Amino acid sequence: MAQVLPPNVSPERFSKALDEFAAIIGKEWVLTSEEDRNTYLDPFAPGNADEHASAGAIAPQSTEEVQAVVRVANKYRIPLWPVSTGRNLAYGSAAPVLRGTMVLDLKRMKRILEINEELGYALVEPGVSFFDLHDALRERGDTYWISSPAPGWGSVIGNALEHGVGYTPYGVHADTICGMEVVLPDGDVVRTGMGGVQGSREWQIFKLGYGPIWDGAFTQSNFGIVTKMGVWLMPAPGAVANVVVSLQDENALAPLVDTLRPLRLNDTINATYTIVNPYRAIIDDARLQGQVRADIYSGPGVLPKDVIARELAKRGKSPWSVNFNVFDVREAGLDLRLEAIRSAFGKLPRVNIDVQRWRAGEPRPGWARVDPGLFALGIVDWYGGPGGHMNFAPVCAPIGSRVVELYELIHRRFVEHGLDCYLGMLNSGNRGLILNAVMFFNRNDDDLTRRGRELYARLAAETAALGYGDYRAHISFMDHAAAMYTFNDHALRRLNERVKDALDPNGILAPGKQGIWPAGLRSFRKTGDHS
Amino acid sequence: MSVHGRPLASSVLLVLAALPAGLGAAEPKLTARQEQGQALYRSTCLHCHGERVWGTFTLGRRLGANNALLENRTDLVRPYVEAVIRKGVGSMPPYRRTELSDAEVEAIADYLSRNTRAQ
Repeated sequence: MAQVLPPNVSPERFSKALDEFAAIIGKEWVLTSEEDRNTYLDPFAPGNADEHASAGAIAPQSTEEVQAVVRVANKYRIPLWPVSTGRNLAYGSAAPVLRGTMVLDLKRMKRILEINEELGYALVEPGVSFFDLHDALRERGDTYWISSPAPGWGSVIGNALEHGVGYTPYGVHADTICGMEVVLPDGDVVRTGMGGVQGSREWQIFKLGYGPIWDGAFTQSNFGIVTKMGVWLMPAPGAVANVVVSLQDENALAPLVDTLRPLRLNDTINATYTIVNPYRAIIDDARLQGQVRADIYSGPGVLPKDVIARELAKRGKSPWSVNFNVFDVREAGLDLRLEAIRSAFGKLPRVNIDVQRWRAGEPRPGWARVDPGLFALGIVDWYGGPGGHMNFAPVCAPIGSRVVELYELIHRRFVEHGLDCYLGMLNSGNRGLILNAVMFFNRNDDDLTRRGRELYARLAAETAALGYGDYRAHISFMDHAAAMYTFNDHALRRLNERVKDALDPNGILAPGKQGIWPAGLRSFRKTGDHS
Repeated sequence: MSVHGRPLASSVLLVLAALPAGLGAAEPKLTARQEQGQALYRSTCLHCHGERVWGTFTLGRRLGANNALLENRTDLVRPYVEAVIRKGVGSMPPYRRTELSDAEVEAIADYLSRNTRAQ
């Protein structure tokens, strides 16, 4: 691979910048060899990973080093792409939007600065993974539980900043953030919320502080580099149940959504649920058996209806199901929740309800989905390896008729583009529902990958016209997702970019992230606007 | 008692069946570096290379069941293991220097190649 340079930066100027970075953090942590740069490419790139190649990586170990690096980046106009652990798989991993950006790899900042068992929070640095925090809590006797996404490779901070989801009552990870330390694009450092008070001991227990709440502005944005973050931890429950509701009726989606809604709204179901469509039911089960698509079907197009019916029957699966866990402090409380759940779902036709239970003192079961793992990654090889996937994930209110309308459009387009429509619907909080449609591909199959990219762009345009927006996007499609937010001629993007230009006049921090471009680089925006 | 939902006895039999000839006997004591590599392997790699998980399934498809579990292999040489960790292979992403140092990669390679005779 030839040398990659930041836009509008000469080799000589780049070389001087690297020398100054090395003077701050040590030469060994300025990573520009071809082998090192390749480790920052997107391993699941939907197309040519070189489109998002970095110019290298810089790996500081302290907030002070981050500040110094940012000041040099401003001096030489070197764009930086901060990553926590760089495992944002399916969304670009560690790779930047803009080719030639330098990755600011924060993995070496991996201290758990505090676990407060009186107040139930942790203060962590960006390099702390879910595995790290899980192990630290386990050493303390699991009096608090983490909320881990699937997979759990990533950073506690990074996942919360990217609006990740877990499967406990603390599953909306951005909602568990309480207090940040942030290096701004000019190198200044700020602490949010009560952290704004010198010597505050309330930084991690009160989100509001005084004045605007800034924590949200540093999530899914390029306004600052989060170097410390408070995260609230869930006290260990006394009892947990796993519930799987399976419905044999192919038209069960609307009643399923409408039955879930009140139970989630009043917190009877108090954690993230996942509605599973027929493709996902088959593919998830195949993954457990170590099977790939070719073991089931190798013909053209999506899995035919007769194959879907055969595979569902063979595996004891139903066309629609929902899987969730219910938590309570005591078993009697769990009994009441389960009674209400059985009563509500028992009214649906051709329904089966499976319940497994856990009580404090027993070994924590895998279905609790608390202990992080990487098993979920196995699905990337569905079309054979080397595999990959990306997601189209619009947000929809949990109203049965609306969900069916959106699902049917997404499914139709998947069929037309010849991609199996693996789709799960995850609630985010008590009201939001994310329809997470996954496009698998084999990276050696250019045609399949191209169809996946075309499908994303088409779905973004069509569903935006219906009033929907994506909640998270791969680096190749961040402009497309931002363009879905159309109100008042994209006023939200204009606001974001006014803030961007005020905080980052040299445009050095993560240009293009979430479709937010600094003034000097807006010509790199990929897509026109949906209207 | 069960492991991954299967009776323990059958799990043990499966592992024994996967062992190459001669490996069922007691292994030589690990060197200090191999012990370090073993600990790193188990904390870092086993999520995908343990029993009945993704990496093991993939290797089983490519190389056969007897070669699926890396810890039991007798044909892994250090440079190859180091290259796979740093460069990735198939759908396995590479590991960066900020995740595993060169010394840690070498320790894992030392551990996984401990049963390979000629290197």
